[in-house]
Amino acid sequence: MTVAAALLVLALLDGAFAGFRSSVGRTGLISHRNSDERAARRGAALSIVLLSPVVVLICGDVLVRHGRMDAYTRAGTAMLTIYAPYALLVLAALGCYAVLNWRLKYLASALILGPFTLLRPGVALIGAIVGAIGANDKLVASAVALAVIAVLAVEPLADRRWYAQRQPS
Amino acid sequence: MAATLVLGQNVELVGVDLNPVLIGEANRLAKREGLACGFVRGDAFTPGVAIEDGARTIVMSSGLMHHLREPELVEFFAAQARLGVAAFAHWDIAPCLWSTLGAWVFHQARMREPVSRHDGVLSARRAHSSSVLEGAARTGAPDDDDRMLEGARWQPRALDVVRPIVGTRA
Repeated sequence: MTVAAALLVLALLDGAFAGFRSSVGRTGLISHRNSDERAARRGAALSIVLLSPVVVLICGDVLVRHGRMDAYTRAGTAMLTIYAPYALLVLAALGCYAVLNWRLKYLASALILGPFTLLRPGVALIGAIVGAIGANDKLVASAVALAVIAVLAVEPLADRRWYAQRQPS
Repeated sequence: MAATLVLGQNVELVGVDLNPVLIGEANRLAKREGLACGFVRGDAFTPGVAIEDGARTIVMSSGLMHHLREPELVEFFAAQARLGVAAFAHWDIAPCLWSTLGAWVFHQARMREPVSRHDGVLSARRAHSSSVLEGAARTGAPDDDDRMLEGARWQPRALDVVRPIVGTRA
């Protein structure tokens, strides 16, 4: 359960940041904290909606077939070996961004946040492959693939649903 | 600057852009946020539209100079010198491998429109070198003390990717 909870927290955080990225630059205002927070909530909510079928699938499989939990735990643990270091670096950079002066904010954004945003789909894919290999089970691999597709779909769907055009302000 | 009042209450801030649509939108947003600044349509070669008293004016720009061709830079600085501005500070990208690579990563990661991703990289590639900018400033504004504010080449600083050329009236 710890592995599942950790992955879910990471997915919700990723969804919140995806929503935030989707909204950035759409208001034109200098003070845009409210729209940032609303976008993060939308991204996290969209993550929950998109991941729900995967969660239902996994819960159903674990409840119906005895001993399936181990396969999912192996897959989840393997995925965390990829996602946890990535998440820690991004969160550290965000911490710098939040508390340091503008020069170090700029460095955190230029050296970590920008490149890591670019690497995100690749990291998600590698995590899925590692998870699928670790589980060595077709249904678990399918659940892993669906979960990663759901996570990667948050930003384009948020773009389309809420941020296709500049927001009235 | 208007939002933080970093320059104090007694400084008038006027923004200039060539595009009237952007000017209209900037004025609307400034009013919406209650910012003490205004925006007017103008041209980099005729900055007088925003300058009433040159001796009490500082002209600043960010990411403008790489939009000008090298032969036009002298006139860009000369136009400000003719108005007798007290000082100028123009920030732009330092052309090098790292700024081009950084521009590519940044614009790929953050820009939605293909044209923005393309233009962001081209901006870094077509930026003028420090020697070109300093030469143009000295020719166009010979009475000013002009210099590029950046680190030594043997000790490049990450923040110098965007660095200013500054001039003060002697």
